[in-house]
Amino acid sequence: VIGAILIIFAAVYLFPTFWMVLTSLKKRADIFTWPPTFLPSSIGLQHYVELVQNRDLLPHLISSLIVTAAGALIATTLGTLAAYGLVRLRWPRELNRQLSLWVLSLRMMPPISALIPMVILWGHLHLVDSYLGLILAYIFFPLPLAIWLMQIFLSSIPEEITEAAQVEGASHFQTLLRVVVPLARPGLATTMLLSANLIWNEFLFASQLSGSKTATLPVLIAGFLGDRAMDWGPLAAAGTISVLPMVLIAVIAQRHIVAGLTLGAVKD
Amino acid sequence: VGEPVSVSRLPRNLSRLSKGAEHLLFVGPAVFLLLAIVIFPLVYTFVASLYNWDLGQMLDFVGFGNYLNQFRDPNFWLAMFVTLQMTVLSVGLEFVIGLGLAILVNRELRALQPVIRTALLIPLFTAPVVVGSTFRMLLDPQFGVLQFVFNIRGFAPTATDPFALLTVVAGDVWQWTPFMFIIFLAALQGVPRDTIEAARVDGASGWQQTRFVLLPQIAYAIVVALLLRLMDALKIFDVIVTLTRGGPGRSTEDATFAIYRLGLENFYTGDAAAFSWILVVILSVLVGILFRQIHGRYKLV
Repeated sequence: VIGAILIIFAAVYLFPTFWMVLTSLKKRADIFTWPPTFLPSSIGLQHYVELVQNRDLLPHLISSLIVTAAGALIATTLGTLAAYGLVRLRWPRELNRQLSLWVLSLRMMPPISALIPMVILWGHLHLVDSYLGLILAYIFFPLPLAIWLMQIFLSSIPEEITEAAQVEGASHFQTLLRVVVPLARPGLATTMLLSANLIWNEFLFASQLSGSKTATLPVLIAGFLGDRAMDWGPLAAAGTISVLPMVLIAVIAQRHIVAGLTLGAVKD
Repeated sequence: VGEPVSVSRLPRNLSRLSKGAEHLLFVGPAVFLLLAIVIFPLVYTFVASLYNWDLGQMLDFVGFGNYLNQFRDPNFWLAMFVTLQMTVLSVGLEFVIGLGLAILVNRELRALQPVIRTALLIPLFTAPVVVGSTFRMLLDPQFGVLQFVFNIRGFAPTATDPFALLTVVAGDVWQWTPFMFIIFLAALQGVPRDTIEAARVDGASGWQQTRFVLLPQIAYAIVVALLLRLMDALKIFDVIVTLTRGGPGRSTEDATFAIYRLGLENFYTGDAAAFSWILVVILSVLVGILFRQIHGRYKLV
């Protein structure tokens, strides 16, 4: 019985996503009809075509890809460096601890408080609607997370291994690059994915700091929602395009994702 | 007598210095960026909050006048109250559903776990603007599928007072319950089976086993999950923008949305900055207290 209940729960849970994908494939007439059609007579990609032709889907998609890839890469790189410093360079210990707590506490910072001055400063620096400005601003979200995650991943690597490298004369930087990084590959992948997820789906910063050249997918999606009657078809298609890559990656790399999400909250 | 000591101390100090420099090389870039992107804007906001600064023009120094204005403004208190309601309802529901589900799945259905976990991963990787717009589509007064299921055609919950806030909560709960579930399930799987078994043999009921044997062993996971969710739920924005736009009236304007309106739509930069700082101080105190409490009992870092 509990099994049946859980299956139903999972089905209900999947329904919003299912409905979005279904709507994106329906014809207009099947969307704006009562009662709603669960099994449309025909499906097609016309809303996707419209997105490409009339809504600049591709520029938004490319912009999202650039910003996400760059941001996740920078956050993971700097986060790994910092985490190595905090975990393996034990001098001075108390400073390390305070720094770690400080980084963790940054996750509480409301983005809106940073955004208002950013809008002003980026304006002065001509960084509004530039990839550089957007990527720079996007460090805000993934870097504290990346430092925190990598700290936990790196501290799970036995100290004897890194110490052995040191004894053989490797510098800390060489140790990190040649010894730690290969061992921490799953951790790096997890950090990269979770960082990418934060940036790919972010809307508030993008709505203010990007412009016609650099607008990302969430900006495109939110742009559909006027106060007038909504055009659900293209909106659902844009939502599907936004969700699909992330969900695919998440499902494929499920083991890593679950490890990353539970990291720090579940002690071995 | 002092001479040899200071000489022998010198190289040690030097090596300490170079160690410090090395430390800086690793930690420095990240800390520098965080200072530039997080802390500097915060300082800038504080300066802005002391000025009468409207429509892009920095007018005159008003000290804490903007703060007083906020405290006198009923909209400020409303936004605070909305934030509180949304946070408590969202995190509360996410916790209860996530924990209940994790306990059920952990106890009964090892075989179904991968299926359910996969289904629950989807919302976590969905953009909040997509969550908001999908829920808006599901709840469309004219053609919404939920209007059909519940036979309420013509009713617009996203534009009706007590319901609008609940739709925002529903979006957040849909998205984030899986986070709680995944953490709790992993924590529960780490609990040794024999402790439960022992409690059962001793005659503990199902509830007693859960409450006094299972939950204490995953207390750390519960605390961390609640803390992480709390920090995020206090700043809901995207779902509100796409689902209710703060309406009807201001009934779904939380603090973040109110600051956004004030500073980025109406360009009262000074007032928005003051509101921001009030929010930052409240969050810092709140999270600071929680950190201290938690850190005393469990080591967070």
